Amino acid sequence: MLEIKGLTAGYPGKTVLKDLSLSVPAGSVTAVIGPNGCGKSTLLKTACGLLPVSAGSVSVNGTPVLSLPGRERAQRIAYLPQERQIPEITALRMVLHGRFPYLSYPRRYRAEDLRIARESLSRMDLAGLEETPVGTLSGGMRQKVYIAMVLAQDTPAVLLDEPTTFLDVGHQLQMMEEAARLAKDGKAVLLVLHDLTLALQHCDRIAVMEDGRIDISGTAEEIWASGCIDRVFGVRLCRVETPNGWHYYCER
Amino acid sequence: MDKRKTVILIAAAVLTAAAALLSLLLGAAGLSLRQIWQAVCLGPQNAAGRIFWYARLPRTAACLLSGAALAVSGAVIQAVLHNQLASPGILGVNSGAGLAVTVCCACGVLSGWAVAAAAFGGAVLAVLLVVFAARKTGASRTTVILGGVAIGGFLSALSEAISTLVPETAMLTGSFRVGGFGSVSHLRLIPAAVLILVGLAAVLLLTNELDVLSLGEQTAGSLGLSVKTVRPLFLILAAMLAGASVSFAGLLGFVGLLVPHMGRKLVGGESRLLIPLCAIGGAGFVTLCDLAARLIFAPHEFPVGILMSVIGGPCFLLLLIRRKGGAGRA
Repeated sequence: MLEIKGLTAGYPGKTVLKDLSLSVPAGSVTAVIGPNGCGKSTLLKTACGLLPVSAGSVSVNGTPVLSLPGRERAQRIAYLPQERQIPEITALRMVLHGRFPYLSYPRRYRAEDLRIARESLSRMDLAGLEETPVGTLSGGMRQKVYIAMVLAQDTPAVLLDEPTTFLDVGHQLQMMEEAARLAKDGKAVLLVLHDLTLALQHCDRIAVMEDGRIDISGTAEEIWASGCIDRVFGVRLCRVETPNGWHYYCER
Repeated sequence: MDKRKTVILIAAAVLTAAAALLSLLLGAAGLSLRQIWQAVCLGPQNAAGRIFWYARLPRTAACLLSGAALAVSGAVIQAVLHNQLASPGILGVNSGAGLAVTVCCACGVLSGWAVAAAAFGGAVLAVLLVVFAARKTGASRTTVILGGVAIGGFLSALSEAISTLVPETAMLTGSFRVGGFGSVSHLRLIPAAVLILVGLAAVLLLTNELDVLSLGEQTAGSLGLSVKTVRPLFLILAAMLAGASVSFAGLLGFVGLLVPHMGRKLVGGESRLLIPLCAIGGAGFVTLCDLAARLIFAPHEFPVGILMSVIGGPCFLLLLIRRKGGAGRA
């Protein structure tokens, strides 16, 4: 369970998050949606301790994480940023770095770390690509390597910032399946999405954010019923019934 | 570690050892292996012994140390700034160390420790200035490079100004600015060697941190690495390595740029392999260049700094062109 309470944070001279509270139950995928600049990425960065906090707390399974040393925090909460470097290392080495928080000095990876990294790659259907340089992989495959790194980090809470950006529709759906698999493992998964359709159809819960606060948080049905997407985004949220359930789309 | 990469590391070590041996043997006055052995056993008792102990050994050690230091410094700076075009020279390290040495010469402070410490201090200050300027202006990769160019140019201009105002300084720093090992002495080499060996050991012990840092500031931070502590530490280590090298070898270009690029092509970007290969390869590259500079116009010496730029520039361009070709095919 990831619990964010009364979080106030931002950048020097600019408060972005204003007394924000949000609960992400274990075993579920929660999407944060909201207009550009409302503070979605800042929320994720702050929740994993990359940005300083003015007030509030973040706890994982009841343990406040923001006051923990970096390595201990990284054993509880994993974060995949939106902007990522493409290092000139192999896929296996990249995934092994997910075990970094568990190493004490001199930080040499152990046989156990290697086993976990290989299992994580295998789970992401990347077995056989261990020695392939990350830079030579396609965008979708690279994304899978990053998710494998998060798997290897083995934390109860996982934060993903726009994991579907730059991916084609096939890889986007695959990414959502991976998020669901993480949740099935009992993790609390919080991700930022721009695609409202993906969020409403593939996430257990949706948190609508506006101007540094969570407007409403609930299931797709509850969000639909609230009508808040129409107001926050200035669009008209529509839905049609399909054999696989409701399909959501937006109109101006 | 796969077999191919192990073979590459061993081959680089053997080539560098061979270059070091040739550097001890060859020069204006050649030495035989027997003479070197006698010099090692008996000390500087005859002409050959004195050539070995006072000229060849410090010079070869200087080449090895300088090459290793500059190449590792370049690899570290490139990893920390996520920019393969970054190098000690581009970041103003050489200019900072150069200015400090010029100030030392102008003030008449010529002791080995003082010059090494000044070069180190100047290099660190230049890097800190560049990092500070980049942070203030957005810290993008481009601003780091542009900041380095601007600060490097400014510091070089200050060096020139001092050399103009105090003409004796120009005489003392002339060979320094070209770069070379002709005037290396134990006195100047030992303090810098201590700094270089400490710097190399520290970087080799922190290769995993360097790799995690090269994943990007946010990813590294989310993995529990203290980016605010580790990044300046690496930049200071890089400045220490380059500054110490500059203190006795002067301004040698392209080593910090060319060797890490070649190393990456051979063993990839993992620091646990790349850093040792850069140390070995950089040492061998500079030793071979110095040997060539000594032999091309023997008994006269060609400035090794000029030779390295003549070799380094086209080689680097070739690497860039081949890399672009490879990317196009992919």
